[in-house]
Amino acid sequence: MNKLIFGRYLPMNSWVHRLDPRDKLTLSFFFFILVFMANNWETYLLLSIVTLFSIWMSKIPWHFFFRGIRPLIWLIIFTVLLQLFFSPAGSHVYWQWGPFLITQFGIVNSAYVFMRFLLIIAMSTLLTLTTQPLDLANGIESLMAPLKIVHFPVETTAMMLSIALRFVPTLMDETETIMNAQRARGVDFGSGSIMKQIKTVIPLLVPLFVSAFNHAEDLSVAMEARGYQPDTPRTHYRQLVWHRQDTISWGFYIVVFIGLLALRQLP
Amino acid sequence: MAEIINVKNLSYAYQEDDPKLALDNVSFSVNDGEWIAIVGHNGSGKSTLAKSLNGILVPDEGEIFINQEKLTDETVWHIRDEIGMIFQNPENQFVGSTVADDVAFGLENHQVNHDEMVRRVQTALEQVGMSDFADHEPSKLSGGQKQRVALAGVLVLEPKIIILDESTSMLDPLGRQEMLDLVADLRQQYPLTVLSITHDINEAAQADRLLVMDDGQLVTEADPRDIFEKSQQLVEMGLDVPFSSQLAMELKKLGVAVPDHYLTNQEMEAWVWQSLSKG
Amino acid sequence: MAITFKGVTYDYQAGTPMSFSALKNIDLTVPDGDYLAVIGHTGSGKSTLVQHMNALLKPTSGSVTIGEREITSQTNNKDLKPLRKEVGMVFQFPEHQLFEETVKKDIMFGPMNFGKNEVEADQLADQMIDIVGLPENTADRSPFELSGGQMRRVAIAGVLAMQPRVLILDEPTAGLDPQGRTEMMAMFNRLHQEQGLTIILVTHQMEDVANYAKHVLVMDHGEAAKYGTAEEVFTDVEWLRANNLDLPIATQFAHQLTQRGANFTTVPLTTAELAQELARQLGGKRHE
Repeated sequence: MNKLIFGRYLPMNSWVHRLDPRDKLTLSFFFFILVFMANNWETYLLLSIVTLFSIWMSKIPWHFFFRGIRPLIWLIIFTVLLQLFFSPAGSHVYWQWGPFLITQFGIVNSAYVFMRFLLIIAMSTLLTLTTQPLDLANGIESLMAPLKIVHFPVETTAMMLSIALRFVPTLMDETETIMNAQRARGVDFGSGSIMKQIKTVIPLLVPLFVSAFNHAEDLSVAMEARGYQPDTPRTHYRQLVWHRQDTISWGFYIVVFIGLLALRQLP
Repeated sequence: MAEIINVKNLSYAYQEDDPKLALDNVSFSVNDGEWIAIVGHNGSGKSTLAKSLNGILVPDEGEIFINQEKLTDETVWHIRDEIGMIFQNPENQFVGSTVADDVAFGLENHQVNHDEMVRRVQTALEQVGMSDFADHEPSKLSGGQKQRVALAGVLVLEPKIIILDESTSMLDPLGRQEMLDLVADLRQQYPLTVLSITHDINEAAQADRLLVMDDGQLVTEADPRDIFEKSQQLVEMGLDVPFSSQLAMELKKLGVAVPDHYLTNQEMEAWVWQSLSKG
Repeated sequence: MAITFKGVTYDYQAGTPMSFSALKNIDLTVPDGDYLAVIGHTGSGKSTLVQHMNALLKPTSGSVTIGEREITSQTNNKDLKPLRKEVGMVFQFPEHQLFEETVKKDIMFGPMNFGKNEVEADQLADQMIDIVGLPENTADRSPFELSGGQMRRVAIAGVLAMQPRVLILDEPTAGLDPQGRTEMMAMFNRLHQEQGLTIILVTHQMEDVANYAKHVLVMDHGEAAKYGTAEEVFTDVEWLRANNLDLPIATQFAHQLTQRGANFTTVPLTTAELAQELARQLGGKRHE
């Protein structure tokens, strides 16, 4: 479990770490759109270079980054295989067995799906690795601010999000402790038949839920005691400041966007 | 001296028809600047009492006055500003993602502007000696450090009263001592009234007055020294027997004549040394 | 069942930028039937150390021998069950591991995982409910209805029901009131005395160390900083002070008197020992 880095924050001090969370959020979103616009190997190459460049700028060690997303590869391969075997006929068929058929279209398409997945996962991992959870929550709150007009509880939602993020490490630690405690009582996690494995989930999940409820109950009392009232305006200790490098990074992505539009036109 | 807390005939039951009251006709008052320890067994009503004082629980009967102001639905938010509470589990009161964010939480709720907030957070962190940890995440802190952050988060709102609800019980001895020293130290600098709910005999010994709870009732109210003389009853009150009393008992058993009244550890040491020197 | 550590080092998150050594080159032997106290500051490696004793953690380098089994970094995770049955472990705040509908079912969980049938496990549960001092009528109640102190007892009963030969206790009395603390430590000591259970106690309570432990290990920054009998370890007052570690209060009191000029032939660890020594010196004639 320690190896999976998807969704974790790695405290370092790089150019990317220092970017405004709103900048990183909008850029990531913009990048996802670009990924879906890619339509040939040249465009995918361009986006791969952009991704590698962004990771390089973050100073996160390569081996750490790629070992961290490796566990997700299985998910990608599964999707790719589905794509490969079940894509519709219509182009050159290489191989067929019952409902399974491999076509030229299928191969190309699944290669693209593979790239799409990989790029999106790499970029979102980079986002969370370089942005503190609270900054992410603040960024989301700030970007959602227009929704206040339609009476969407933006502040409360942001508060819920930031508390959830704050408790992720706590609950991860507790999961590990509970697993160890049940191992010591003779539970084998991750071995035996499917039925056996499902049974081992109960001694883990029940204590975890109980603990989460206890946290929530105590926390709500503590928050109230410190004067928290839902749906009332609050000020913010963390101020988001848009710096020059935020504009620069957006400028860079705009250039990439134009490059992509050009490369799309290639046959 | 002015009365800062006045509790009159407080009763509370967790369930409506529960014949067992969590609080049963409790009355007491606290003077401005006093340190009160509330002791009693687990389940004797101590925490219920603490949570009533700032309106987290609403009593079925009775009245509470904080700084002459009656606790009602209208005044509850104002009264919460005057009472800072620190709870037992350090993990469950850490709202922010970093130390500074957590200390700022109360200020954000009070819509303090950013510049003032930065200044006050800094001051509060200095007060509890955690300035070097401002950007640390809670998972990187020890229990004692988290409780000091919780204290800073309360101090930053400049309360008149601080309630420690078993806030040292999950700490190691070093963390516990640091926390108590810190509170004692702060009291030298600011006019703080302290209510500590505790099982720790050292913490209780620091108090000016002890309130003993049992079965939801306030059974005794006295100077710690008077209560420490009754060694046998201390265990029933959910406290330990102080070391000096234990030693006195053991010595008596061995035929040594020890003074009958309660001695602190220091007084005991002085008495033993005097006796040894005489011999 | 003896436990031996040979040059054990353990790195958390090995191979990542966050990697750090929680244990550094530990050599230690816990003989069969010992009562070992492990003391040291929060984060000194105490919990990491004891989790090697039932192979919840495996050394990054070095080896741990538990009875006949040797555990190294290469040891397979399979068939560790026989080992875990022999070495029971009570974690900090063990009440957080409860999950069954009734107290009895929760206590039966461990023994049934280790191959006991329902009848045997049921009997064991009854026995353990008695040993840990839970009221009999709690057996069929939900553990979540009980008080914190009672839940703790249920969890401990669940570990005892596995009938381990070694019992690891990680701050078993944290957060209990003084009476509960005393009762619980007395219970563990009875098990140690009557059934020859080997006990390894991680604690901050120096009174418990003084009252019960045969040996003391002081952990500091992942290293075994000091090891010996309680007398040996607590004699070095200056070293303990320099490392911010507490002394048993009786030892501290005696040390205070020594500073004033008093003499003690042995280091008193408990209040009773201190009283005896003082009575002798004060000429309490009835004692001689």
